[in-house]
Amino acid sequence: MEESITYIKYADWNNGELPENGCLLMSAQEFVEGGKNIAGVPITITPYGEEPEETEPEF
Amino acid sequence: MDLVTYTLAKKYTNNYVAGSYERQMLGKPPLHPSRYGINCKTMYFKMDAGRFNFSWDNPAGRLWTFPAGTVDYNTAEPISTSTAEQPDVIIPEGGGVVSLTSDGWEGNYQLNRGATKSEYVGDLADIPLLTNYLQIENCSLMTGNLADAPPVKMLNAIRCVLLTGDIIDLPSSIAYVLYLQGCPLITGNLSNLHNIRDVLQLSNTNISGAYTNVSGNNAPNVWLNNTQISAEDMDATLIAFAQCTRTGGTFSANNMTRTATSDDAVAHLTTPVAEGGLGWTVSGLTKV
Repeated sequence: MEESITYIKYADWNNGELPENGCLLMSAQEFVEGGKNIAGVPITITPYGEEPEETEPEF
Repeated sequence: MDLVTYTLAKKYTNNYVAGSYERQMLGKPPLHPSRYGINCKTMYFKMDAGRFNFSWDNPAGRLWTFPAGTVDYNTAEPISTSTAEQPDVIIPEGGGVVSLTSDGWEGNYQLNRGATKSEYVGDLADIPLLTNYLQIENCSLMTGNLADAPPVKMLNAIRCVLLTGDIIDLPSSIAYVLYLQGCPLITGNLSNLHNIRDVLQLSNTNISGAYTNVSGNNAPNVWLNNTQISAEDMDATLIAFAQCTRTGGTFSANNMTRTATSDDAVAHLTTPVAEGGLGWTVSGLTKV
């Protein structure tokens, strides 16, 4: 299994450090409107900013 | 046996002998005879002690035989043979060899490890000429090189940690699903991997390069977490995926990087379909 990820909503982020296995979560619109300029931080982008479903594929 | 059959059989046999000799000299295990076109109806599973739970869904001529001392997993009753699709047995201390006989290996059939895990100590070369689906996930003591994978359409070898080889050697038949997650000895450049249509799971392997063999709707859900892909190659991969038409996919790349070169590609991939984008989820990338 993949390591569990803690998502921090972009709107709630204060530019601080993310927790271990933390990842910023933003919508496509947030990405275009500034999120794309954030460097040095892992980011997950979904169409509407929702947390991704557990998509570890089952065979 | 008529003359034509005899001649063909001899030719195939000669091919098998020559091929096996060559592989032996190169330090490789012999391939299952069916890989040489020989109508060999039996394959063998070398097993450590413990659970054996493989399934094979071709009922024609199906017969499993188990080593002495094998017992049924649920009843603990001794069992020596079975015609079931998925026997569930315990191989005794010291291990042994399970055989599976089938009237045919090719076709729309599946060989699936079920609950069997590290008890299977076979090799990819032992697998007959399967042409559809091979599932050996978590068979962590299984050995073999990707070049010896059978020509299936779908391969799941997740956490088969002893498997080796370069992805360039994978059979081109693997067109739909490829899972090699957690196989750290697997190497290769993604530019040498053909199109996989539905799912490509290569996390925690040693692969590198850009995966751009995608087009139209043939862009798989992809997992590239913890690989050796550079930021520039990740950019190229994202750009290639953004030029496809498939919607609603997953692009997972935890602990990987990209650059500003792929900003527009990420934006198009993740923009909702209703707004003209592709509606994908892009996960875990850090911009550098």
